[in-house]
Amino acid sequence: MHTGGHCLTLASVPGDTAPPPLVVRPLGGANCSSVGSVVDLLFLTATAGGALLVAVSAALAPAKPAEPAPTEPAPPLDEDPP
Amino acid sequence: MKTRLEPFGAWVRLDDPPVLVALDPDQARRLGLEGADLWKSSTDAPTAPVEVHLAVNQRCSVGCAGCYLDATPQGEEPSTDELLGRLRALAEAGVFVVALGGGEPLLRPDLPVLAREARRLGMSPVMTTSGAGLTPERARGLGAFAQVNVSHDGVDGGYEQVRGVAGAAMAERALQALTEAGVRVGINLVLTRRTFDRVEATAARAAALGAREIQLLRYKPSGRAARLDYLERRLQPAQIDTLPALLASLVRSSGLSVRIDCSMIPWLAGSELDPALAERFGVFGCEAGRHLAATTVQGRVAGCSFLDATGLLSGEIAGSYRSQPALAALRSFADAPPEPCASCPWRRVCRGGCRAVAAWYGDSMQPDPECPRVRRHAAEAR
Ligand code: SF4
Ligand code: SF4
Repeated sequence: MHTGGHCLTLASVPGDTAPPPLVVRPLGGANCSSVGSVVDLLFLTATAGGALLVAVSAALAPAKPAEPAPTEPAPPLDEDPP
Repeated sequence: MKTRLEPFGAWVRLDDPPVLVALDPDQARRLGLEGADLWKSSTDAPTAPVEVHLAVNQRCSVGCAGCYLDATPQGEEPSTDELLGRLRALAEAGVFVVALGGGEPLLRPDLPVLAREARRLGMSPVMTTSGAGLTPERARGLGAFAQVNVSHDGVDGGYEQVRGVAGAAMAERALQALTEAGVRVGINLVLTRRTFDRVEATAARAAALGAREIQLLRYKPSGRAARLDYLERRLQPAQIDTLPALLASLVRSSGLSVRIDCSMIPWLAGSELDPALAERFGVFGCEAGRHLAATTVQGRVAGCSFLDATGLLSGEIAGSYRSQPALAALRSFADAPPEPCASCPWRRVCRGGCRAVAAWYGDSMQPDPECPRVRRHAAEAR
């Protein structure tokens, strides 16, 4: 059946070389009986899904090691530190 | 970031973007997580649900004709301390989202206390309400909820036709009050034969009142809706066939985020949508007893709000969720349902359709009798 919209397929989701997470489930919703799921990304272009995966990858990237702090030149030995 | 180790790897909740992410063990290790024995487990049963529906009462005076819980004005209501204890138990198990519902939650004055405690425990509290009794002042007290959804089944008489009471104006006043109080709001719309044609108009009305999301729900034969006129009230097969086109139109033009409930996945299975993509983006089918559970007003755990309670108490979820026999049976069926589900491309998402609907037809451990593919299969077998 035609859904009347451009359909994103998994193959059309742009990704980088790192394998994407198994599942990315948008949060939100407030239903106390059954469980709801966002379906927007099933009907939008690959760009929307790709953008979400890129944002998730960035948020999950291990923090880079901190750059060493620039060191002040040591004061001459005969000077009192301020 | 909140994390929970699982046999498949780990769940990770991110705040920006607001998503729940499932990682495999290698990906989880990169975040410094180590699953040790759990990752060698012989079962893939989850340690706990992702989302739990917490019944805060079975009390309501609106009297909707199709109330799935059969709530009444005299219905049971646990104390604040009991509910705080249940919240602590859910947090200990690692639950991410707790959805407060009733009955009518607004009959309780302690909702701000419950929502703040859920937040303090690291969970995301949300709530569903009819909006009955929601004054602007009360709305301002609900700021700890991540989202509140108001039931609104349809403009132009749709609400009355589903619920038998004229509540649309009440729902719209509640939407407005919540929006003005800065609470993120959505609507819950039950799809029936008579509301289906009004969905887009109702979405437009909700968006104009500040709603951010529309949650579509399948009408299920449970509670007061489990009567013979269910067959007349439910969505009709010809309407089901046009559902994917309706969803596409809502996504494109309503301005709302669009959600469907777990029991509606069988209705996508005839469309050109990609089930692998649905799986990747976390679309849930029947997750009863796996990623979803409910706690009754008595504090017992059920696979979902539509299913019978098990003997498991909410305080026992942390240690015994994986081994409770009735929950394990739900998972076993959904992991490997019989034909025509076994060969269905949507099986991994759908998981055999709705157990509550199947139960009404006579056997909860059969494929969903209202799935078009299941109907065709049954007709061919005759
Ligand atoms: S055949 Fe079974 S798994 Fe496939 S959509 Fe229907 S109920 Fe779901
Ligand atoms: S039985 Fe399954 S599909 Fe039906 S409402 Fe419960 S979780 Fe959803």
